[in-house]
Amino acid sequence: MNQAEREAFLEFASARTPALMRMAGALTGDRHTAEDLVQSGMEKAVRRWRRIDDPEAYVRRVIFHEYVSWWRRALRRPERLTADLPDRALPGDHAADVALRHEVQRALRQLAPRQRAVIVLRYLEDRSEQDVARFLGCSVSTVSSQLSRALTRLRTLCPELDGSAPELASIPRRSGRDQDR
Amino acid sequence: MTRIDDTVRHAVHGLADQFSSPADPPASLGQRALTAVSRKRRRALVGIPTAVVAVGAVVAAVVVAIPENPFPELRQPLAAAPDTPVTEAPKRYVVASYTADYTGRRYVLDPSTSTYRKASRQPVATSPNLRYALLGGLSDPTPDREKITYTIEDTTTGRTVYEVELGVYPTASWSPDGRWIAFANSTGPNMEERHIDEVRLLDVTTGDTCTLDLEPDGATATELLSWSADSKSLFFAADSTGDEKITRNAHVRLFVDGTVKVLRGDWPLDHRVNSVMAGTNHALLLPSSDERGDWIILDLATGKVVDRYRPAVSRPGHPGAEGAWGVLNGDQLITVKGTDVLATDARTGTSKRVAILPETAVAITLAPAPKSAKSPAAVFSLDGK
Repeated sequence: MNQAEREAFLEFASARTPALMRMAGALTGDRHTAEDLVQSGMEKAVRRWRRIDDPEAYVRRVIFHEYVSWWRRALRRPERLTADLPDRALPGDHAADVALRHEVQRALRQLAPRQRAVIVLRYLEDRSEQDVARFLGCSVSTVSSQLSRALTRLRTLCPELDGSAPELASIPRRSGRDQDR
Repeated sequence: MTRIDDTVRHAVHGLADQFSSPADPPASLGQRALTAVSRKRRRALVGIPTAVVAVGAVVAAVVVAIPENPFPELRQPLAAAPDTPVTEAPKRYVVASYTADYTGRRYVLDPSTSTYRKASRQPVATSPNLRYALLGGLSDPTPDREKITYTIEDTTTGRTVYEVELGVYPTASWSPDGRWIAFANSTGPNMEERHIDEVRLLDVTTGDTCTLDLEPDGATATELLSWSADSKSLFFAADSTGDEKITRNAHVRLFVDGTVKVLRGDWPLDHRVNSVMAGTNHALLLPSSDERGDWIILDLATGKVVDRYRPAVSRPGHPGAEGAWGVLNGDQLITVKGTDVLATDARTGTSKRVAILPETAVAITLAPAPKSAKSPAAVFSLDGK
């Protein structure tokens, strides 16, 4: 890697690290693990800098594949068991929407890695199921079933999702790239 | 757009936002990546005590010549062990790797020629002498009717010598003495709650199979983890999805005669899943993948902790991150930190670098090298596909 390539890489890293950290953070729920994943993706990008056309797409792909890799899945148990459940908002509480969001975030941390990857690709990156399938290298039906199972699991872990919560303001749908910029 | 879609979207964005301003300046991860890569390249130029065998552009193997006795103390019995590991530690291992092209290609290496062949299915295990490879693949992916076909192929000729179609038995492991292949089932209402309640044993010397049931003893498990060194028992972790009676502090040991032992102890919860057999009567328990904690040696006869220590390598993981691991024998582990391959003394946690992986490695596994092989072999896969 020559000096110009180093500068180009560092410019890319500086510009895109926050977006990549958002995605890795949503996947892992842990800053250190997210940084590990982003740095790992960037190391691989450094090694192939001359051969990759779209470094960000490449790094994102590395991050997702490493996150859901069987090696990590076999050794996974990122969730922490806790003796005390957090307080839940009472019906009618004006802070209920915030509490609900926190409940869902807590539930997200308990999903299996592939389910969580599908959720992040679908809801953070706004990718279609076809796109998610291509990205993860599996069938569309697998993505559908994973998404369905993930949402079912979220409903189980967070019963408020099924109606008692107040309506939340909708987030405008944008492309995954644009929302990070 | 339904309410649940909106809520989940809102929550995921909120979660992501918590990570959008890293504590360090944004460029630091990039700078750290550059530094890490250049440091590894410098190390590679200095030279390492290994022979590196590059096999084509796609797959590479690193033959690790482990000194005859890298950790003299390891050859001594564990302090509290009533019986010691029966296997003699092989002197050479192979670390084979798969490239990071993410195409999902799998290869089996023919030890007689040191060449790789593309595998027709997912490589799952190799026989201890590396002559045969167990391959598996979904033959009927219909939900609720999933069937997996396993084949045993001769790694030299590619000839299929055995084929069997099973239900959902997604995990398999070959015993150290080569006689048994254990197929663990996976049952449950969904992915999260799937568990093992049955193991099918194939006697490869006769072709006979038998089914061992864990449930009569109230035992369920999550992962088929490892064989004992004497090939007489399998060791599982019991998980919170299992029977309430063993949801905490439990492991399951299943013997080939069908005996089941549920083991309870005072080891930390985080350690219960990342555990492997060590020798014939001990287990090594490691902290979960994002924990930094002690490694624990457990006496399986008494369920008591006989030793614990803080290892030099903090946590298991995978190449490119921080520390994949594999079991070399009852006492030694191979750990990977970045692209460094470390031989780690399971008793003390001290590590010694024995190789550097190819930069493209994303997954590794280990196998002892047979004396007859010109170049030892291993089976590699990517992403469990």
